[in-house]
Amino acid sequence: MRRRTFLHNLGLAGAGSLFLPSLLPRSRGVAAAPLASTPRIVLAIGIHGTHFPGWEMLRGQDTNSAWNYSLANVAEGEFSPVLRPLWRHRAKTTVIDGLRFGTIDNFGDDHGKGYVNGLTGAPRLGGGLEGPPQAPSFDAALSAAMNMKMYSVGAGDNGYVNFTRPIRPDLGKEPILFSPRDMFDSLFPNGGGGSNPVLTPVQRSQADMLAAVAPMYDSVYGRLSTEDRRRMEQHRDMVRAAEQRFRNASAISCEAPDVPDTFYGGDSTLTAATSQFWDLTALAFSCQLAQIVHIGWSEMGATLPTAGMGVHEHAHAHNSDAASGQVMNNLQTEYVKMVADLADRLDQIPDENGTLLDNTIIIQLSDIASCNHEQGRWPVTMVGGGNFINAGKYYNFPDDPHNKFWTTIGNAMGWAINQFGLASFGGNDLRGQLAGVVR
Amino acid sequence: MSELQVSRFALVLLVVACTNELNGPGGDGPGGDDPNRPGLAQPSIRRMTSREYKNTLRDLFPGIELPALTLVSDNGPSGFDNDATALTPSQALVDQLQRETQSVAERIAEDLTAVLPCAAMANAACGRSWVDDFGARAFRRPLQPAERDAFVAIFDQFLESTDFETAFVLTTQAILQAPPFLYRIETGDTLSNPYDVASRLSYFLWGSMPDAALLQAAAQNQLTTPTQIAAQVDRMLQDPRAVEGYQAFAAQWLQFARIASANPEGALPWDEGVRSALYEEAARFMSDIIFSRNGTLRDFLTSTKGFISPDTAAYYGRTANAWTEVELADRAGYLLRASFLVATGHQSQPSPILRGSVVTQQLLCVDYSDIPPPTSQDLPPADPNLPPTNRNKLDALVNASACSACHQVINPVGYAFERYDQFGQVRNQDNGYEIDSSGEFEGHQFADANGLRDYLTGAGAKQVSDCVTRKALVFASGSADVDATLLADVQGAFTSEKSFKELMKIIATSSRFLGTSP
Repeated sequence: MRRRTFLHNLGLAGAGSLFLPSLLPRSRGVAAAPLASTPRIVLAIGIHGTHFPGWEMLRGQDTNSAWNYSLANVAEGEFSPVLRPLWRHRAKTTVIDGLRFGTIDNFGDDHGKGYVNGLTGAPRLGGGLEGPPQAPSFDAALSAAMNMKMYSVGAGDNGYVNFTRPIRPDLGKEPILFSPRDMFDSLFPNGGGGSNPVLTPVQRSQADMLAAVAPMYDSVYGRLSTEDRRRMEQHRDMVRAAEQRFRNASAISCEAPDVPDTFYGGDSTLTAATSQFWDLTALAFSCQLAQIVHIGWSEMGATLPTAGMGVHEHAHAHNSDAASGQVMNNLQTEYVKMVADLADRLDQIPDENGTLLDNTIIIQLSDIASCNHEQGRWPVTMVGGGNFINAGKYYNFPDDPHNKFWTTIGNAMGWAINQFGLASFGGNDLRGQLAGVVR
Repeated sequence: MSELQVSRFALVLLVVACTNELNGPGGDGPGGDDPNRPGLAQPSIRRMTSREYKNTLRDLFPGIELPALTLVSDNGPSGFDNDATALTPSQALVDQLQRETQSVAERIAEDLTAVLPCAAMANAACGRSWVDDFGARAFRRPLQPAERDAFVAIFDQFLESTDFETAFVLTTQAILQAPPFLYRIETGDTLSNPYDVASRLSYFLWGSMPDAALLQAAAQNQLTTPTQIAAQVDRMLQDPRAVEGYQAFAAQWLQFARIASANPEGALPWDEGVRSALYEEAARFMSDIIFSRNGTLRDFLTSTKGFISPDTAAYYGRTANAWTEVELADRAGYLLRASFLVATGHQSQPSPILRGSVVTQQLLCVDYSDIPPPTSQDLPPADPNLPPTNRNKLDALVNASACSACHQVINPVGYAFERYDQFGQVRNQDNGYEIDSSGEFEGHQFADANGLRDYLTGAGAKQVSDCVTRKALVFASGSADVDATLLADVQGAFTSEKSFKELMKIIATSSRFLGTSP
């Protein structure tokens, strides 16, 4: 059986069978002495907001006060329909409810508004899906501040996913890779085929070739403005980073699987592309080739006829009738299933102080807060990260701005910040952590 | 290759940098930060777009089937992919370029003697000839001596440590990842030099590199007089690449991409075949107007020639076994074609807002950016005393003070299309009620889309031609910040009676666009 087939069979087989020895860093192993945990993070961004009736698990509690309860002993039938796929990870699942947008602008297009305000903690400077941001998104800011390698990927329709690109500190938008093959090639520049692939002379010389190219960006002939020179320096640094990947490739401490022979992309393969991205995320995290993955999901539409869709989700998102509510529940359940699928994979890979899931915070968000575009309640679903946060709980924070959530996650990952995005907005203080979440 | 050998590359490049030879006439010197060069706004350099990169590689290696290229897409805020402000580098792009240049160079090396006859000699002299010839074509100008030295050093080092073919592949990769290839960097002093002119022409008209004739004209200093420029432009407009170049403009100007997110439901079939055919319909329509008929803006708005396929024939109440030219007397002009009307529709209703937005922003250049944003995003309730039609529901936006600044302009234009449903089919009722398709723009009343068309080709024709001119200049210069003098010059020269080709020629022969006059 080919390695790829082996990997996928294991992955699809589900519980108990995804232990992948080849994914383990060879320098460590199951019996390795405990080390300080290394945090990783996945941001999974869907669209059309949360259908609260199908998602929330309030258990009759007062939504105007702060509280939390343990999910560990909640029966499967008591889990909300949307979150039920996470029941098997209930002790590692964390739900944050009740937050409000700390900042919100008044420019048009709620999707762009929700995404930019939600991910940057600061209002846009103009309208539209790509409305100009004034601050970086959390993932890109974390990547820059903590020198964590980030992959930005997308599954489904490019047009829908592209506006949820990470926003870099220089306020450029990080491109999204829609092909798992692109991510594979970036992770394993020398190709697949195990730990010692046979390299051609061209492959062996890529680092040297890039080393020769990089300085050319310091000595460009022609008329350049200061901004142009800054771009040249950026490009030079990226060429050097590519060079370094090749130099590091020989030191990668785990085997590369075979090269995926399929380029996924497009609506019809959203779940299939996500599955491959999850394979690669597990590899990247396990091998310390990356610490951040941002994945954007488009509409699922016709790819999920059994979920009652195959129709335009946008219209259902805006309808308040029971049938449309059920469709949105079905849709969001499918998103959560994909999150649970990643959790399955990570939880079966031993890592420092537990499993890779214990060291990875998977955060699922949507572009806007609620399906009908109300922005008053900003919901978060998380799995994992138990070595950094008090996981396995449903939290309600009715008085806190969402900026505090990002500060909390940043602190949990070792980023010493007291605020994320703006410090205040509309007279409200946005600084500080959410109480009791960080371990 | 050893680290010592690698450092020899670096040494060559360090010397190059320190001699200031490569800093050229601009650098950070006069005009470096604020180049007083007409036609180009800041930033003054432009990375090739994904589209331009693919076209350029195709033209660098004619007759060779290159591997499929999958660069990350470019999305400019001006609505055009070549907006210089958005063409920043990214790690994903740089990684892709490394892989793609390897694939391309290895493909070229499969039949090396076809592109480099001296390859059989497998010696350093042959490598130098490749650097000279290929480097000049890739950089769209002769190499500077220091640049040549750097690439020759790369070739020689790899030849020493590997073999000729490997050195060829790696040197070709290096050239294809060097800044003068990936970026359009102009080297003229205060004004464009002939090579700068050649690239401005070719990337505007073709979305690709200058061809041999254009580079030869540059080398012979024959891109200086208006007559010389006009002759080149005439020649270039006869080239099939001009169709491709104009299609790239038209597709972005008219927002063909909206077809990708259309998802109408109802009586007519809808699948990926229809979606693809609607793209094709729009492209065929524009190609017919611009190139087959040397058509004008009026033709664009009034042509009755249609193109239907087996997938889209039902959208016009016809049948077809293949792509067929038909007369569509009752669907005159681009704005009444399914490709436009479906792209600007919702699932079960047409969208007067999308239709009005495209017409007012892309054809009339109404600028909403200075209008204060609304204080609320909530959709105002419709008047319960009125019939529940699409128009009445959306009229709430026109009447709400928070929304009216934009929607009192957008909606009345979009309402003109209310007789065309989400499939672009003619409808006589909406939700069981009579349709009101009357509209208005800046005091001009019209009864329906035909009346709007009459306005756009009559009283509004000057505004339309000025707007299209602005859009074409944004595309031509790669910046939303169009040179005001250039804009005035071209708007003065282009009228709705002149053809799209003439518009291209007016821009392409303008000394301010070319950067050859202050």
